[in-house]
Amino acid sequence: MSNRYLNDVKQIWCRGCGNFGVMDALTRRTFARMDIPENEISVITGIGCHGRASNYVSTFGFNGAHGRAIPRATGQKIASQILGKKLNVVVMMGDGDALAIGGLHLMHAAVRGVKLICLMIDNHVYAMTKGQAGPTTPFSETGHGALTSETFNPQIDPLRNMLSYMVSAGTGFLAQGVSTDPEHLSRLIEQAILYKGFAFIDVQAPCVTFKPEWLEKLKREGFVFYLKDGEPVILPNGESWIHDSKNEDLAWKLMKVPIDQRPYLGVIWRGPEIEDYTARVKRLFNERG
Amino acid sequence: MRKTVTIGIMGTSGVATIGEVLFKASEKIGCFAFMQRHNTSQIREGPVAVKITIDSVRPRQCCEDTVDIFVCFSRQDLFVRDFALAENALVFAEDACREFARLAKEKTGSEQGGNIVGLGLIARYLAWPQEPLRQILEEDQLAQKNLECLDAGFGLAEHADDSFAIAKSSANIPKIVAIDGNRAIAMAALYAGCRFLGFYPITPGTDIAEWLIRKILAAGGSIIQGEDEIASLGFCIGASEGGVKSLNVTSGPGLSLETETIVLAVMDEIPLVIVDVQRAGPSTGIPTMTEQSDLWQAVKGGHGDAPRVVLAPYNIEECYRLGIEAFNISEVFQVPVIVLSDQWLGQSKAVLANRFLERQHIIRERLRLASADMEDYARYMSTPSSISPMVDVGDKVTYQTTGLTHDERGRPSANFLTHWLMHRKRQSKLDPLRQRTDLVKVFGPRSAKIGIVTWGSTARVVREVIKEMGIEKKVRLCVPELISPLPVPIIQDFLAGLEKVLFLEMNDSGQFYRYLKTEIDLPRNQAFYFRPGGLPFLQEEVADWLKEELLNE
Repeated sequence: MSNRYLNDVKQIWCRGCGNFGVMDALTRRTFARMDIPENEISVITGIGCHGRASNYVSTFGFNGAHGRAIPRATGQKIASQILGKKLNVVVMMGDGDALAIGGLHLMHAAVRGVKLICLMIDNHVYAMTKGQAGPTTPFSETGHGALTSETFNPQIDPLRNMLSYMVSAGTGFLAQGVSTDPEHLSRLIEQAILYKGFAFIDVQAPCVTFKPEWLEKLKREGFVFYLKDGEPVILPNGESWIHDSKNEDLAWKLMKVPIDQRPYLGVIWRGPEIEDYTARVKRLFNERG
Repeated sequence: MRKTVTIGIMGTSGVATIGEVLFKASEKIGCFAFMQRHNTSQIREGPVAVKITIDSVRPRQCCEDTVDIFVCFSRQDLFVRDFALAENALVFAEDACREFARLAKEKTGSEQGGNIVGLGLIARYLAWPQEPLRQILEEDQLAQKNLECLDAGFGLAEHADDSFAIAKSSANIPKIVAIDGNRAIAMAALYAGCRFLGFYPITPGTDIAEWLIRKILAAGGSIIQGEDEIASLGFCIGASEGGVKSLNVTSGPGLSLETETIVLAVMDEIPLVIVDVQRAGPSTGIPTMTEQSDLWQAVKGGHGDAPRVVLAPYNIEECYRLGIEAFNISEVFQVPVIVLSDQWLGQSKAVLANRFLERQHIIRERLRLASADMEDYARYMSTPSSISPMVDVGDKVTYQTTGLTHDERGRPSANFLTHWLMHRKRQSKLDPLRQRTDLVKVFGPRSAKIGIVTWGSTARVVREVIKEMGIEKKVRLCVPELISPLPVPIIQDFLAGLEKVLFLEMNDSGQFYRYLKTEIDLPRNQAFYFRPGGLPFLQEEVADWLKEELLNE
């Protein structure tokens, strides 16, 4: 099917790569459904497999340096506000981009709250450099498969709970989606676009080459759990709740469940909206004279 | 009545205040002045010294070497080199200064006003009226309660003769301005249309940001203090491609962090300006002291070939002119421009004739895509000038670009010919700059056989020394303000006919000299004086070296 949000550059991801699902969710489903003009969208990526995404869109498309998509995106958003233009700034980052080399930028983007739609394409591995352990690689897991270099380079650091880190930093919209369900992911992206501040979506996008077992596990019937406001959610410890994305206590519990134990898909946390950065700067300096 | 007087004040807390008030009062009274401040990275009770040369006849771009009036609250060995006494100098040593504190306590109940007593005393020796000083103190709420101390200081020197008296010269240029290099660059950025500032606090560059924040917000722009210099420059890339002229202010350690982002800006051809107010390095070095040692980093820092523009103003007036020019060049050539200032240039204050601030400058804008050419837009399309039209993000026509080697449409390419062509594009678009005679300052007659090459703030000492030595006709001075790309033809023209060339700069390795050698054949007969920073060049230091080299001829 034709997709007006893609250009004619040949996509070179591995067959079955999660990035295809993410692109489909973002462009053919979200942008098209919301009918956003191409020139009102800028896609800024980091470095790694997902980084090619900004080369494939027909909207504005840019790379940051590795881990530095957020600063470039922030600058564009601020410029659009200064000049009074409509611009939806979508940041795509790998898990290494977001949580390792660019971790500081991610934290401060959440603190600052400039409106960015931030997708972390989480494949649990440094795929572009052929399978080294990354910040979201499950702890102590050893590699499988002929191509993986994880046998030489297993995950050494314990896996941190990165979702709760994002909430601590002030993210007001936190969701988790999966590349194998682009329609669901697309609904999350749409909500992120409509949210007023900094929005973060952890997109589980298993690597077909270096993490095929994670892909298989995610596809297993009944493994992932879809969250829906007002509907029951059962935690692995047996606790039963009614999902409410505005319930901070529940959000913390959901975030603490290790991803390989049970991925919760949907909006995990929706905080109070904070004042836009540019407006806040102006107000504070005006108040102080 | 004297034409010039130099005052040195040394101690810890309160010393800077005396300097500030004397400096501001010079402006009010109508005298030219130059003030440099020495301090270390210690917030309270650290060693501080201030040296201020007041001149009733001509503007100064550096202090006199020796001080005529020396007030020493406490001796600071770090700085004594810069505070040698002039003949017949008036000295108030530590025990005299203790008397100031005692007097302050008597008047106000606190010894803290001792510095203001010293201020009053100095002002009385200069035969200045109390009124301008009182006005300045009254503006400062903290100092207000010390007005009695000022009076006491005047009283202490009641019987002073007029041997240090200085006043406005009748021949003075009517309009003067108190300014420093940092302020001049900040004003230039605003004038040039800068509407976004990304910065991370760092000594000694932050003054520029502090002044600009409110001005940029008032002009409808925005600012971000980033989490580090990497982010701060990254914001500038984004804001600039969004169509807003952007400035990053930093110092050496920040420039090191920014290297990766600079080469991205080169690769994607983004107009932006970085001001590096150099300090003594490497690493943390001496953050509060001047040096000229970031040249290699500015010119070549980064992986891959990444041609960029580097400018180095040599005095405060040029900080203003080149501050504007930096934006113009970055816009026209779609390239990051690094302005190399330094602590001594950035933070030393001068009262100057303000003509340079009143001059009109042309403001240039980047080439933007004409609406007729919107079909099949290629961001990096080949043109005779190698400069391709830009589109602001959010405007009608979209494009994609990347830090990967890309083709004319900004799309990734691993083709070696594309890679080569794009390298040539980025390199050759800057070539016209090499012919810019206005970016290489040359002083002295063509008949001179001896040339001096220096850059940045060191040039202002050299000019002063040449004047003092009366050798204006004997030597020819070249101050390239365009460091990269190197203005080869202009420097070659300068070198033609010279028998000997002298090189002077404030770094240990002769960074500009060695850089120059990579592009230009220099005359065989050369001499150098390279030393690291930490303290500014003294005129005597430069003059002694020059004399020796001239004698060797």
